[in-house]
Parts: sequence; C-alpha cells; structure tokens
Amino acid sequence: MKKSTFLALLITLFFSACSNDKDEAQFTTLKVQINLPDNYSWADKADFSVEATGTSSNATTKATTEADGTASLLLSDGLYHISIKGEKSHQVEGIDQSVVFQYANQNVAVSGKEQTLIATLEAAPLSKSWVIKEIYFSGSKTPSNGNYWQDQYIELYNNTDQVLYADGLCISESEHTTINPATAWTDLLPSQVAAGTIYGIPGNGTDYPVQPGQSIVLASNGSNHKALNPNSPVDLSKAHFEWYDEHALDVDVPEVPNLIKHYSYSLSVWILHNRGYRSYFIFKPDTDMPTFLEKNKVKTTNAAGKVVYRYGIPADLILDGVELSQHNALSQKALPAAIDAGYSYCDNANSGLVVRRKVLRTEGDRTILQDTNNSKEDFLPNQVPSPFVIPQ
Amino acid sequence: MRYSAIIVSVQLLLCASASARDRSELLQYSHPLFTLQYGQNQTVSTLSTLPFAVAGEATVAFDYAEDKTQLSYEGDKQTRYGFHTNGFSAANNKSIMRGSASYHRDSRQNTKWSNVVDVPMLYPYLVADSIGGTYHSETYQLSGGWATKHKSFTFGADLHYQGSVHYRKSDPRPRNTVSEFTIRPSVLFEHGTLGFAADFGYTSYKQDVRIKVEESGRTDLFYQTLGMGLYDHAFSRKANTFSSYYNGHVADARLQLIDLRNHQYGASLTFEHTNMANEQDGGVRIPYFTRNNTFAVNGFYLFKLGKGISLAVNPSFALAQRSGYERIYEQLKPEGSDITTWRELSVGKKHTMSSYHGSLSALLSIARGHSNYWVQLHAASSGTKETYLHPRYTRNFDALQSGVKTGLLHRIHNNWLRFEMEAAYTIRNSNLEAIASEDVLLSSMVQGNHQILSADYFRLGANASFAHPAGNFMLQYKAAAAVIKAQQQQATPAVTGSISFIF
Repeated sequence: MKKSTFLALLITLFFSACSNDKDEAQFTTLKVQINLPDNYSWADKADFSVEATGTSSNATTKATTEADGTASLLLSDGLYHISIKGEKSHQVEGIDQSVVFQYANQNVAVSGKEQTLIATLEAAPLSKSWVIKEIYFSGSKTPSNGNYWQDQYIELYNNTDQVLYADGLCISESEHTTINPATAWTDLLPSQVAAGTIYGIPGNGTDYPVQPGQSIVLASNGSNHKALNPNSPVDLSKAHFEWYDEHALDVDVPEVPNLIKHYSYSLSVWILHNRGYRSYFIFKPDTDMPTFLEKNKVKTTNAAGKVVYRYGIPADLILDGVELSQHNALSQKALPAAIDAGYSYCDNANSGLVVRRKVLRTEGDRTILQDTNNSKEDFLPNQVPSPFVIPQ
Repeated sequence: MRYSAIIVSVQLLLCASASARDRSELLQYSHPLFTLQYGQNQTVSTLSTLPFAVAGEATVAFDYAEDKTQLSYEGDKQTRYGFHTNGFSAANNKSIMRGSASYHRDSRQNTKWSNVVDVPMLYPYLVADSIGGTYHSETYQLSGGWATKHKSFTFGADLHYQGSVHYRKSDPRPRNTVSEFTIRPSVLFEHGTLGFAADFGYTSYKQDVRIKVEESGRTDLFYQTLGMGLYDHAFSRKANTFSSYYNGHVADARLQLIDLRNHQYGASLTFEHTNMANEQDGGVRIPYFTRNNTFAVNGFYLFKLGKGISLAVNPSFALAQRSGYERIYEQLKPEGSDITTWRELSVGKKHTMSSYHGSLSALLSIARGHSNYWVQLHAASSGTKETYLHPRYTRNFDALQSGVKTGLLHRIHNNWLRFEMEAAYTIRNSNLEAIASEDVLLSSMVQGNHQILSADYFRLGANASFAHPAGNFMLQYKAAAAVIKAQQQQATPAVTGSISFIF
C-alpha cells in the first residue's frame, strides 16, 4: 500500500468523524400565548410571569407577558416544566376581589428553531376557606425495619377569620399517580379530578365547628403511636377523626370518631402512598352523597378490556388540594393548576417526615397560612411532624 | 485507546532486552536516547526494526504514591503491586511473535465525585456520589501479536484484552466491571533505508456500573453528571441502588516513518475517534453519548555533535475535540399496563470540550568509555476549554510544565548501574465562568477540583537500577522515589520498587 493511499484514508476518516459535529447545539424560541378562561374578560393579559424549568438542568428561564399575552423564551432542546402565573384584581359591587390565574404543564418537549405554546390559564380565587396544613404520608419504620403506616394523618386548618363547620367535608386521594404519564383519569382535568378514595366527616351541618386559626386532624389510626412504635414521631390519640376500614389490618379506636367511608379503591385498608405518588384534596359535595356519587361516576376501560369506575370530583367544589410526587420525578399532575400549580414531596418513604404549609402572617393571635395554590411555594418538604400545633 | 499498554511493554523490553550472545549488552538500551529512537509506538509489524531479535522480561513491582495534584475522581493516595511479563521474537526471518500478560492490584484512597473508572474516557457523563472512599481494583491483561514478512512488506496483527473489576468496601458500594478488547492489524513497508508503517485499531470498551447500599434503611444521593459540577436532575436520585452502563467504540489509524538504517529520525501521525454511549434501562434509553476526535503528531531528530555526543529533539502535538450529546425521551405508559416505554423526542449537542497538548524536549547524550551521561530539558503546554450549553457554563484550564532530567548509565563488566534525577515545575491556571445557581451547579464538586487544578506544583525525583547476571538471566533491581509539593499542600511522597528477570 502506498503512502498516498494511507494519507487519503486518514483524511477520509478524519472528515467523516468530524461530520457528526455539524449537528450543533440547538436553541429554541418558545413563544407562549396565554388565554384567560371565559368570564374573565375584565382581566388584562400583561405581566404574567412565565417560567420554564428544565427537567434535567433544573435551570429556570423566566419571561413576562406583553399586553397581548405573549412571551418568548430562548431554551435549549429538552423537557421543561412550564408554569404561568398572574394575579389580577377588580371590583365586584364595590369590593376588591383578587383572582389568581395559573397554568402548569409538565414535561413539555421543546425542540426545533421555534415552537408555540398556547396556554389557557385556570382561575382560582385566593383561598378564604379550609386549607390542608400538613400531610404525613411517608410513615415510619418499626424497630424491626418494617413499614409503619398506621401513624399517617392529614391535618386541615381553618384559614379564615370565621368559624367553619367541618361537617360533610370530604378528603380524597387522587386515582392518578403523579410519577406516571397521563391516563384516561387525567383526561378529566381540569374540570374534574379522579378520586380513588372519598372519606367524609360526619355531622348535620353544625356538629363540628372549628374556630379561626384552629385545625382538625384526620388520622389513619387515632392512637398514641409513640407508645406502639418507638420510631413513630406522633401521638394521634387526640385526633379528631380516623379513617377506619373494616378489615383485619385496621383497628377501630373507639375514642376517636370515624370518618364515613364513601368510596375506596382499596379492598383492604386505605394507606397514603408512602412515597407521595398520589395527591390529596378536600371538597364539599353540592348534594347528598348518594346523588353526588351517582352523578359523578366516571368509567374507563383498561388494557385488559375491563370497565373500571372511579369518581370525578368537580374541580369547582374542591376547596384545597396538594399535589405530591417524588422530587424531580413528576410526570403528569393529578390536580388542575388552579388548585395546585406545583407539587411538594418528601425525599424518602417511611422517613417520619411531612409536608407542611408555610405561615403567611399572623393577625393578632390568628395565624394565616400561605395559600397561593402552588404547593411548591406554599409547602415545606421534609418537615418534622407537628400535628395539633399551630405555627406562629 | 490503549496504545499505552503496547508502548509500555516495548519500552520495558527496550530497557531489558538481550541478545542470545550476551544478555548483558542489552541493558545499554535503558538509555533514554534509545527509548526515543526505538520505543515509539511499536506494533508487532515494526518489532523487526529493533536492534535485537529476541527479548523477554518478567517483573514484579510495587508502587506507592501520594498525589494531591490529581482531580478528586482519582483519589490522592495510590498503592499498586503486581507482575507483568512480556517478550517477543523476530529471530525467524519469516515471522515475528510477541506476547504479554500482567496482573496487578490497586487501591486508590479518598476518591470523590465518581463511581466510575476511566473518568477521562467517560467524561462528562459520570455517575457520582458525594461520599467517595477507597477504590480497590484487580486488573488482568493479556495481549499477543503475530506478523509475517513478504518481500518488503511485513503484515501483522496485535490482539489485546484487559479485564478489571473495581469496588469499594463501604457504602455506597460501586462495583465496576470493565472490559477492553483491541484488534490492531498493521503493516510495515521497507523501501531502501526508509520504513513506512501503518496500523489501524479497533477497541470495544464496556463498563458495567452497579452501586448498592448495604446499610439497612440507608439511601444515598447519586448524581448523573453533565460536566464538572453540573448534573442531570431528572436522572439523579436518592436510592439504595443505582446502575449505569457504558458502551464504547474506538477506531484509530496511524502512520509512521522510520529511519531503518540509523534511526536518526522518526515521525508518527495518529487519528483516533471514540464513540461512548451511556445506556440506561438495559439499553432502552441512551440519554448521553460522546464523540471524541484526537489528532496527534510526534517526531524526533538526532543531531550528531561529535564522537559520542548527540542531541535529540522531540516535538509532539495533539489536539482533541469532544462533544457530548443528550437525548430527550418521553415516557409512555399504555393505559392499564404496568409497562413503561420511552420514545425519543430529540437529540442535541450540549457539551463541548477541546484540548491541546504540545511538548518539546531536547536530550543531550555523551558517551565516555563505559559511561553514558545525559541531560534532558523538557517543556510542555496544555489547555482545555469546556462548555456546557444551558445553563451556560465555561471552564478553562491551562498548564505549563518545564523540567530537567540528568542521568548516568555505567557498565562494570557485565553489571549495569543506572541513576537518574529529575525536577519539574508545573504552572496551572483554572478558570470557571458559570451562570448557574446553586440549585443547578453542585458547587462542592466544582470547588474541590477547581482548587486542585489551580495549584502549581513541583516534583523532585530520583531513580536507580542495578542489573547483574544471574545464571542465564539478568536480574535487575529498580527503585524510585519522588516528592510532589503542590501549592497550599504538604509535600507528598511516591516510591516504586521492582525486580525483573531478563531472559
């Protein structure tokens, strides 16, 4: 073989390898156009904050909408969590009323030179009602390293300056697990949320008053768990209610009233997902429960051809909700952005830690908790449980 | 690519090879001038150009080194012991054979920010935890080659296999299984006093990374890095197990010019292309891959200045360009199914790293009677620029090294004494420009390495060897010691010892 042949081969090799480098790094101009929901024509489209957070880089790029409701972001190729938020005020019968408009879309694929995203925002009045103060879903460990779920609880809080009655208030767990992609259940969004469980507080309307700035604790089991499991961080013997399932795995504590079990997907006992894959929300049905369940029954057919029923809770009846997921693993939200535009988390299952709502301010003796309908901002992840304790 | 194994093998041969008549004569090739003349990039096809036809060596060696100038991936204290043997025969006019085998055990203490080995090859897509620890490893190597002559041509092929396992004994416990297989066909064409050699290599590289946490209930945070301090939030997670798989292909081509008569000059031109993929989910997803091109040129020229006096000049230069690509996948889960599938959405270049390395050395050699003296001046410059696209991140690193070596090779009957001293000073500069928040950039990973790369260091070393006949063998003892002093660090020692049978 001649020297010139070698040289020709070498040059060919060099250039063929270098040719792969033509596919230069891509930046995409993401053009966002916001639309406001019907009946909110009084609100202008300017000054909405638009944020795109890369799922890989965690870097956030921000922009603000112009008067025509458009904003542009320069992003590199990738998947992004897009969130849009704005607060607008107007007067209704001479009284100022604020409305928060929100949009959240997970794992939006951004590629190409230019891409347009049309985002229809959802509207939610700023909270003046019940809020979820704390969710203890992670559970704890037993001394023999078993999973201890019996000490789980959800704490609700009267965030108003008036007495609220807990009678009839329902707590639900989302059917959708948020680390997974969209399913037929999330197709119900944003007008309905598919519920996997519905447990309600008994009462005739005025049996369970809760004072402003006070809370009620809904426990899986109303016992002093510190005595039952030395690793448990909580004593729930003073819980206001417990959810009890008639099953060998559950224990009915007679001193603690039971929630009414309206529906549960579980054939045994309801255990909050200890990694936080499901979301939780509270609502008040607009009619008696049998009628409510009947009119909101939804169904789908699974891959095996079996018809599956759940309940689609109308979003406008939901008073508060907290989206949960695994940190940096949220794939598809279970709740509408108007109820929760973000999500919260605990890093580990059975960590004995909770997600807890932040304090916004205090008015006299009353603590007002932060509720912007975005649990990423409103909640603190990985907190030590503090049921019955009103933060200052 | 693992030229180094072959180069090192041949250099060792050069240091120790012997003719059948008088093995002792061959110790003269431990002079650095001969290493320069004959030790450049040998393949089985070019072994016939050596001034001896048969050589063999078996060595047991021990190394201990503390070095705070290396990146934290490598650790700062290394212990190594093992043996290697190699040999070749070009005595037959028609064919040449060579072979080598080695086994060694290593431990590297205080490694950090890497749960992979061969970091320079896999960078920037590494797996890391913040704990680190001591890496232990065992490495086996086996290689062989055969060449045949047809008129002016020599055709040959080298095969090389290296397997290694690397592990840590405390949580989190990575276990890395690495295999490399190389095939290298080669040819030498002799035309008068000139030799033209070419070889083409292909290497298959695989590294299986499996990490587990044995302590009950404990989880550790594992990072999938995208560069120094950058990591992929989507793939990084807190867990008690983590796994990753690297699958690489390396192709290279090299041309050499050899002065067959006097070995007064020589040159080589090398091009190498590496494609390294980081696979997840058993190869279902390949979220990261790199392409690396390296172009290197090397040469030497020997000036005869007088009787027994010569000056050899050895310039070399290499350019490398690496591009890191990232794929974006969409997760799909058919309704009612527990099986998750992935669909590729896009692929784009996110990371680039370009580097150069240039060096020039001048070796003055003086032969007087049974003694050879030498003085070698050496200067090298290198630079690296690394850029990540978004978030914008740029890192520059430059180094300038200058050094001097002086030594003596002395023959006393059939015994050989060799002594050498060296001193080198390296100026380094590291500069990081990052427009990234703490949420994005793992500052503790960056800062530690940044401090290391910013520190100048001085190295002072000496080595000595003595060889004497022992029956049909030559027996050679070697010892080396060095001290490295980096800025704002205490001086650290390094020692080496070995015993070789030369046959």
